Amino acid sequence: MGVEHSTPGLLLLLIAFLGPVIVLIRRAAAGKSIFIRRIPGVDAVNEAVGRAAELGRPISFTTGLTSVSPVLYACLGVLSYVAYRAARFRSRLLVPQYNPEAMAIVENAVRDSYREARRISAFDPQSIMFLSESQFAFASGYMGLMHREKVGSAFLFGYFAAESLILAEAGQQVGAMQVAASVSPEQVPFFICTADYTLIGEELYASSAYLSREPVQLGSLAGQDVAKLIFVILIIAGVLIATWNSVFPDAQIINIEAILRYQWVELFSFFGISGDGS
Amino acid sequence: MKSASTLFNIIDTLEKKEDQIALLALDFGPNTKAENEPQAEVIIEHLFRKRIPFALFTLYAPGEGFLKSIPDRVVERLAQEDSSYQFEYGVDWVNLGYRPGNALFLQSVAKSKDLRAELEKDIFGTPLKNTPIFQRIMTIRQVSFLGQFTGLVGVFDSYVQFFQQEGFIPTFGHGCTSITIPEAYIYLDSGQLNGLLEGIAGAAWYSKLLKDKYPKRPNDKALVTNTALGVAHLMIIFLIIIGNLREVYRWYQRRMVKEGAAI
Amino acid sequence: MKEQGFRGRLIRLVTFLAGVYFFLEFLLPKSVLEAAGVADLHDEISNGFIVVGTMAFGLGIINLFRVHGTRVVFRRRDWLYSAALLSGLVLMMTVTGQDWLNSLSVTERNRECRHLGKFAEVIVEDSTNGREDVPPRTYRINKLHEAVEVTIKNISLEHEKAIKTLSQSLEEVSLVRLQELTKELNEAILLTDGITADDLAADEQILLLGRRITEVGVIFEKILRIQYEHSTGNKLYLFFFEGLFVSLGSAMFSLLGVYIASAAYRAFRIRSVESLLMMLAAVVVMLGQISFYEYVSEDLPNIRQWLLEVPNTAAFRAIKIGAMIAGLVMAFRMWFSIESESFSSRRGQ
Repeated sequence: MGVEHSTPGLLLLLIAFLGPVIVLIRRAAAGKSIFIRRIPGVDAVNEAVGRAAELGRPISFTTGLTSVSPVLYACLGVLSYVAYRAARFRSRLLVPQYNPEAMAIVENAVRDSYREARRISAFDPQSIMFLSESQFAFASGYMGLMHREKVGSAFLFGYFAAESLILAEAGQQVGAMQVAASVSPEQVPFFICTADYTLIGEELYASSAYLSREPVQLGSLAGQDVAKLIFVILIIAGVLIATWNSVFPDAQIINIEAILRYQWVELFSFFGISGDGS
Repeated sequence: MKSASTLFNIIDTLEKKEDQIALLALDFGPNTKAENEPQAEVIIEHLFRKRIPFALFTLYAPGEGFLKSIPDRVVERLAQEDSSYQFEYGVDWVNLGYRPGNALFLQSVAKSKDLRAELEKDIFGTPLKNTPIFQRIMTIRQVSFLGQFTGLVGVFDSYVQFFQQEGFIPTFGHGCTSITIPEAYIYLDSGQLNGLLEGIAGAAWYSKLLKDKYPKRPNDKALVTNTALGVAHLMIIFLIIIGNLREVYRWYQRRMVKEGAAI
Repeated sequence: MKEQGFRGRLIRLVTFLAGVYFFLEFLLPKSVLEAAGVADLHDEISNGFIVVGTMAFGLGIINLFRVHGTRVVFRRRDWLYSAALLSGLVLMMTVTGQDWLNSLSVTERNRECRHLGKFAEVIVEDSTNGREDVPPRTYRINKLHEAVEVTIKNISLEHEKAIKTLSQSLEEVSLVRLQELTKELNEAILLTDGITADDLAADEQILLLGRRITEVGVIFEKILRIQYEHSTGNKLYLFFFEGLFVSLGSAMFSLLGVYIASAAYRAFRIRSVESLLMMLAAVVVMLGQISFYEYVSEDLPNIRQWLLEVPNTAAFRAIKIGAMIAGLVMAFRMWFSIESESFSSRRGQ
């Protein structure tokens, strides 16, 4: 049945999920180390940048349809790293953009990376180009860019929709090495078929956190893992209780769903408080 | 197709009641029109045939044109099929137009104590309290069926999450594009979705069921499109097989060359 | 990237307060919200947020004019494309605006008639309640009768004009419908005209007049709707929307079909046991969905159904749970403005 307002159980669940995130963000901000395992996608990023440098062809990095949101900041973690290495290897970096607001943030991130690599003079603001705010117009512009510039490596990180196959196929046609990461699982099959390496699901956040070592991202990622662990425990407990209840119907145990639906009024009356607070 | 048959049975067993209405959300644009438009059309046709009054709206601005074109087309087609099929705007259906706000709008509608005041007017500026269809509709508890058609990601989740009240969830049917079928199945399995039209195949199956029930009904483009899509599927499978055979042949050639070199 | 100073703090404060409202609205039980008086205000507050969100449309249009307008004015590279974009935007806005105004005019007369009907009810109600702060009853009745006569006259004139324009251009079905509505309208007008000023002494007659004029309005709106559907403005809108916008959008989307074919031939290689399993599942699902599956096997739809209901649901549910948790954490970060800082100061390997 429908849920319109929170119950005590839902509130506890919320605290259980968000509590570890807050704690771990604070730990990361305080400088304590949080272990993130090295994921194979990081090697693919290095390989792609190196390949483009060897071939003398430009690198392209697109955040797809990502607007200003935490997903964008996750993509920027990888972009900063790629921009840093591109600056060091003196490779051209092209960053076609879909969203004008995100463009300003992306430009800052790339400029900072060039400055850190001590190649600020090589930074070209024109390389961060606004194509279009229309999905397929953006895809058309991206295809044209890939073919004109003969890109050596292409990174597709962020939120993609139906145009994902068009973007990845354009890279395939020019022989670019492609590393892709999408936050929407529907596009993963297309990237798996067309990109050389695909980061699935939260590997985008993991690679960004790993490369940037940024405390908010590290803490969020670790906190999400704790939340998932809590979820797994709840699922297992729920399955065991449901199984017990179906095998022993005379000795029923209250299931987790029923606990979560326990209303505030019932809780108050349990503690002897009436609905109006008396 | 089990999910489409289930949805057909749900709508077929709906009864026309003065204080009930069906709500249809056409949250698709030209991009996914090929799959979502036939889905919306067959559902609207079925509701018209059952004389179930319904209201149309969309959360996606490019989809507003379909709110007008689809029911108009269905009304015309039904009138040609049988002259007794006469439908009147405001009595049998109403077009609420584009509604901005996405999840916020859905929440407001779900919590509203007077839907006519919340939704205010239809697309022609007529106050809903003056339309016969909304005379006795106050809350979403009087929504006998909610149908949502979309190819967008993340929109359908908002309906599942917000379009409910304490102790009430409307009967929910969804029409999705083929790419989001796997995602829709998890809600079908958990019972949060009661019926599903799986892409154009779902629309074609529903169309077939309508044809079985109403023999005078002509074949529509859903069936034709699904057949064409079937041919395309076979073509893709053929290309995959050819591509893999080509790889096997190349591997065999390389092996022959190696063995030849060894000798 | 952290916004410093007063502006940054203000933005963070507003974001936090907005989030707090919805959090508390979800968290607190209905009885507490009703006691606090928030439950009744929720609709207005939500509408306020929707209005703020809708301002993004305006921002988008301003941004478009800014970016492309500068290109056109200063004749920068590819300025012709920008000019084409802006012309299309202005043209579509004009056509849609005109169509919207036309559609509003459909209900104008009906609204007038409804007001007159309501006025008739108010006259009787005030008279029954003995209300004194209103003009005398006879005066109001005369005004009502005059207004009804003027409205009927205007409706008749507009109706004549509409019939003249429509009779030539309608197809048979609509013409029959128009003739039926015309007959109904004429009958309704006759009945309304039949009530003279002298008849309006009795309350029942006043209410009857109100009902009759309302009915005239309803029928006339149906005629105007037919006129609107066959108007140039509507046809122009449909031409741009269905003829251009929908067709171009569908055509661009259909490019995917070409790329799928190219990817199918080139990239779908069976290189391992996992890819073999994936390919088999893909083929079974595709074949189970087509209309001539029975030429391959009758069991294909059932196997497809099982694949979607069992392994797919399990995997997708796991992905969804992960995505939802990530979404929850993201929402929390946005609520408390916990943003990522500059990346350059911390560099990983």
